[in-house]
Amino acid sequence: MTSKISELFEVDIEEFQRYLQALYYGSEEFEEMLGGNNYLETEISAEVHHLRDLMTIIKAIYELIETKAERYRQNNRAIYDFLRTLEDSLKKLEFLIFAKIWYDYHHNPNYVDGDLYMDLLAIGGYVKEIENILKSAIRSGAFI
Amino acid sequence: MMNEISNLGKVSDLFIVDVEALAEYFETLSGEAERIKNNTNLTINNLPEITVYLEKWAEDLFTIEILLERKLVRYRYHDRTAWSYIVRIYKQIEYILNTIKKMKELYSQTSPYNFDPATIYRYLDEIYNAAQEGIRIVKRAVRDNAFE
Repeated sequence: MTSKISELFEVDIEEFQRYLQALYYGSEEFEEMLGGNNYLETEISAEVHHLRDLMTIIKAIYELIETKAERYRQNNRAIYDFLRTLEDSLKKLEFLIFAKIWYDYHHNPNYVDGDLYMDLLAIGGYVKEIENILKSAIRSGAFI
Repeated sequence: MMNEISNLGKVSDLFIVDVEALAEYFETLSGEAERIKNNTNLTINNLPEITVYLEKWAEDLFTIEILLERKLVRYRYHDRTAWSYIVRIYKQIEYILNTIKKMKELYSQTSPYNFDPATIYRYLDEIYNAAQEGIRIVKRAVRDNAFE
C-alpha cells in the first residue's frame, strides 16, 4: 500500500517519477536503435540531446523538492535521509548524462560504436535505483 | 529576491517555492545574458557554448512553469487570475526559448567570415528584456495574490 503524499509534494513527486520513466524508456529506445545498426547521425544527436533535456528537468524538479523539504519539513529526519540517498544516485546519473555521454559524444569519434551502449544500460540501472529509493520514501510516509 | 517576493503579497505554501524559483531563474537568465554581452568578445566559436548555457536556464524555467501549471490544474482550476498570469509567464519563457533557437540557427547558417556579433548582441538584449519582463509579471502576480 502506498502512503499519502501531501499537496506540497504531490505534483512534484509525480512529475519527478514521470520524467524518470521517460528517461528510462528514452535510454531503452536509444539502446534498441543502436542495436539495430540502422540509424542516422542526426537521430543519435537528437537522442543525446533528449537525454540531456530530460536530465535537466529531473534535476530542476529535485531541487524544488529539496527546497520544500528544507523549508517546510525541517524536523523530519526521514525525508532528509531519503533525499541524501536520492541525491547520491542522482549525482551519478547526472555525471553519466551531462559529463560522460555528452562529452564523449562530442569529442570521441569511436564513442557511438563503443561505450555508448554500456552507458545507456547504466542509465536504466540508476533510474531503477532512484525509483526504488523514492517508492520506499513514499511508503514510509516521508512526503506526508 | 526570495524575501522580496514573499513581502509583495500572499502566496500559499503550495506555490511559494515555485514562484520564488521562477523569479530567481528569470533573474539569473537576465543577469547571464547581460554578463555574456558585456564580458565576452564574441566570436562565432563562442555561440554553441553560450546557447547551451542559456538554454539550460531557460529549460529550468520552463520546468518550473510546467510544475506550477500542473498545480493550478489540480488545485486552482477555476482561478482565472492565476491562469492569466501563468499564461503571461509562459509567453515570456517561450519567447526566450525561441530567441535561443534563433541563435542556434544563426550559428548553423553563418561562417566565420560573415559573422556579425551585432545580431547576437541584439538577441542577448531580447533575452535580457524578456527575462526582466518575466520578473515584473511574477511580482505583479504576487501583488495580485494570484497564487494565494
